[in-house]
Amino acid sequence: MTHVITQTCCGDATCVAVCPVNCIHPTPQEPGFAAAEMLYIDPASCIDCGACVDACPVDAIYPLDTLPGPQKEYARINADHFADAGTPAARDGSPIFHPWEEPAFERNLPSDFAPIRVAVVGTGPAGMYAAEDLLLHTNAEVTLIDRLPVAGGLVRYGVAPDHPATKRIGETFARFHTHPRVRMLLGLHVGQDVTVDELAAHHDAVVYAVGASRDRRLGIPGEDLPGSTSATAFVAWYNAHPETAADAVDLSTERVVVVGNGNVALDVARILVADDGHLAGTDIADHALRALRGSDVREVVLLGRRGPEDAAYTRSELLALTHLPGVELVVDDGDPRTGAAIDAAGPRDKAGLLRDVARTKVDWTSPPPEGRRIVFRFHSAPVEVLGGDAVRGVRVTSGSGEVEIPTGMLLRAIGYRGSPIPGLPFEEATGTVPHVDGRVVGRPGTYVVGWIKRGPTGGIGANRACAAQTVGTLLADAVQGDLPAPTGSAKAFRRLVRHRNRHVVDARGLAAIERAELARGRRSGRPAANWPRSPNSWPPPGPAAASAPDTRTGGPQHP
Amino acid sequence: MVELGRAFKTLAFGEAAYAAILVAEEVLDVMQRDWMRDERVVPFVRTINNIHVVEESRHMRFARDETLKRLENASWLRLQIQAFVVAVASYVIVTSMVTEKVYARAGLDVERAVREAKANEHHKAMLRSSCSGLMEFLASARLLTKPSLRFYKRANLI
Repeated sequence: MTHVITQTCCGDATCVAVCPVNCIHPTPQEPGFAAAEMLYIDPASCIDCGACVDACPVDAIYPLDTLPGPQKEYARINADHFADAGTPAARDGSPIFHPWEEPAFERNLPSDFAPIRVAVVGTGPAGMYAAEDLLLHTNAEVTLIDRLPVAGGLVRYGVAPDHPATKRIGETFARFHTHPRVRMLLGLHVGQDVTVDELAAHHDAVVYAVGASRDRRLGIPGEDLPGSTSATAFVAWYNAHPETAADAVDLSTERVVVVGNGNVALDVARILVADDGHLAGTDIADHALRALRGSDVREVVLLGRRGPEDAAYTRSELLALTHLPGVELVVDDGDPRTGAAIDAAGPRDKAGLLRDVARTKVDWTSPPPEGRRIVFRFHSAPVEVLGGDAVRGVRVTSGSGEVEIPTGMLLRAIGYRGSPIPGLPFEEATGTVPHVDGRVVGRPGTYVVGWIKRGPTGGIGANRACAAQTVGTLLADAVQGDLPAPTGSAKAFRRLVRHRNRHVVDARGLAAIERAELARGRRSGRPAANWPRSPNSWPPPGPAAASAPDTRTGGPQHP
Repeated sequence: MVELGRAFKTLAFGEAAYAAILVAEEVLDVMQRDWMRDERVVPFVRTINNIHVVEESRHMRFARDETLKRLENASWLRLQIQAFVVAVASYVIVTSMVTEKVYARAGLDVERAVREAKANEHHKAMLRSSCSGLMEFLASARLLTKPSLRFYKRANLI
């Protein structure tokens, strides 16, 4: 018997640290770690202790005999990872039973390390991994700041509602919201309410974890027609992001074309054709659930510029798509290169994942067939969005000339882009802040972490190593005495914030919002009903709001 | 110390007993993981540590399960009491891991050595980061109540 890591693996390697027999690989010290889509358990050495199950922040690990139906194939996937390399054995004559690396002690704080005051801007995964690292490894006081009145960043507003296990990592982060050395200031916009310089003047160091909130554009004619939008906006819409209108999406079209085939593209495709009964059991936005119930969408076409061997999705997300009840998966066989690549692929090649998926030559001149389906179309890029006052089709490349696909909605899912922060340097080409190991170039005491640092690649868990690097740099600078001394006290900063923005939400306010959400969800038989919140629209309508205490005053949180 | 243990044995019941044992095991587990991997440690000790790490993994899982199960429907008052007992136990365990005799045997001024060790930020950081899994669990079991947090802060666990 063994345990098995499944689809939701976030790769943050919390499990590796608790395994008593070192059977989870690749470990962060191993060369394949950075490129690994997920981690695997070696069935030959696992002793079924279950320590990893308790440690996993996203509930991805199961004992082999309790694997839920669609996850059963992960038994083979885990075992396959070790098939080539074989199970590593301890050296002959070694006093220990399993091969282990020497312990590494990367942080070496001087014994008289003085407490520092650090602001972390952004409460998504990158910001929270950085805050966690600081709180666990130093005696730092941390100010957690977010532009929005609720914490969580993309864990709250980016993860698809039908991935509740992934969202659970938010609970791990939430432990630090109420940490005795943390002060939370939500709904405070750095760059508007307070400037970068003001923030720096009141803290020893500032870490920016603001992510990449813009989307990349196609740069083709017709891109801005009504009905053509970004997948980012669509994701924000179904997750009740406060800056997206409830009526922002019109689903009165039979076919939706998504440009791109990364995991975000797969997310939006899945939500668009998902069974609304299933979605009702998630924390999807009320307005999105209503719209999807009345949706006409039967077919979602995913355009991939290159072939199935270069598809951007991860293996686990594609596998999940093949198990969607009531949804057919189809590969458009119009281009012979697609089929050839799938047939030629080895069992573990990316293209091989589509081996058992039906292949048909799709006739784009007729409306989509009955039933719901997702179509993968490879070697095809959009050339022009067609339509007078709204999208009515998209002209795309194909192996032989160009093809017109009629559609009422075009979603571009070709990646995110960082936005410049007023007062910080910015590299337009990459959409990131220039840095050396996390330290912002030319601004001592200022650091970046997450997508604004390394560009919009890598999932939730990748931020752990990224944050470790940034915090490592920050602490080294602190030890060297390279951090500029703050000119204003913590108290002065609180005064400044109160003066600039009366609607800042603190940890208690956040807890009240979450309680109200849960109560609201319970009434409608759902886990939690998110509502779009903004400083102006909160509290939301409904009885929950009436009973929630006024949390917008931003009063003192800690005795 | 032994007497304190006896007192605890008599006083602790149910989840507090499990949770407090868990604290001891988690703290030892983290240290032994480093020792068993470190080539500078005597091979015999490394083997013993390895055995303990492997064996304890199941015990800790069991203790976590039991604690959660028993606390599932606990009342507010019971939670407060249990949280307090676990916090005191944790404090005693963590603060009595190093005996003052080692400083004397090493020929150091005991009073000063203890003072320096207590103020060592590196030591505190190691404690906090090593016990993060434990604190995470205690948080999920709702055992980090306001009064108990004072003990964890004093013991440099949070």
